[in-house]
Amino acid sequence: MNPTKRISTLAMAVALGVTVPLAGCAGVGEPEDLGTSQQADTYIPSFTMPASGYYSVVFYTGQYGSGDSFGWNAVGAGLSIAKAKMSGDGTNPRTVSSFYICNNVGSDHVFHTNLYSDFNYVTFWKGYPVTVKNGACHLINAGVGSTFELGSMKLFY
Amino acid sequence: MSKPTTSTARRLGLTLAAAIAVALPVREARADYWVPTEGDYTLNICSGNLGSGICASAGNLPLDEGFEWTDFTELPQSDSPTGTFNDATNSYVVCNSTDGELTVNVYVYRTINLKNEFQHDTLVLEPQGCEFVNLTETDASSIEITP
Repeated sequence: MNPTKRISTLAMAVALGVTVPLAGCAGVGEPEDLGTSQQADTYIPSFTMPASGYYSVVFYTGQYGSGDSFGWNAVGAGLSIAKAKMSGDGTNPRTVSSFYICNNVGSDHVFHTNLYSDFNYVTFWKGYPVTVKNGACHLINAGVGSTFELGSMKLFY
Repeated sequence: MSKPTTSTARRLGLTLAAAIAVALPVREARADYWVPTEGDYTLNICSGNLGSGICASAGNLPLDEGFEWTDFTELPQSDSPTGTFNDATNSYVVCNSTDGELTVNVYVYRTINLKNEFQHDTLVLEPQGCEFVNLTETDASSIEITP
């Protein structure tokens, strides 16, 4: 598959709230690149349970799920994701404080999330193996009342 | 050492009172779920899905103790936002503000005094983490949590 076309197709799908697993490109321990375009970040105003067979991951600027949010609300079960160059202004990393994962994949699951302060998965900030019940959401107040700079992230299914 | 002044003593008294207030579990009705203060956990049961709507909240819960809410009609209604909490219960939220992982068991009952259990969940809460769980039935009347 043409890489340029692949990212473009995926970015469009995510912008529409649907993530399309690509055959042969994704799997456990092999994150799917969500691209670097800010258009791929979907604004999600509140906790929303994705459709059956999907999970979601959403970041907030404020603690405990307050403030502005962005994320991906329809990631297919079995799909790991990676997002580089997370920037609101195209230059600096995103300033965030908390994030949640909602699980509707059909069973309880542990999602391994790594957060990095740089754009390219080098400067590790925090990592969470988040256990989420099926049909539930788990919110992490990662900044413990403060904000942090989020430049990239990987979520291993 | 200088003798404490009246204002100093008053401040110390207020500090002690504040410490006691923090240590004691409290219950309130809220327009949304209650996030915890440092070093404890909270239990919220809410009228909407995933912690939305009106919530009955128990906070300042010490880590070495469970908590039982045996009758939701005991809510201080004067503090409640518009609407009656008991109209429906659709979800609960548990938050952990400690620096360590917290495993809790939550039991939800149809009737008061912890009778007729219809849901039991074991939750593993990350440090500074909250879990939002929808109920399988909408007529819960009591709940208990055990760390």
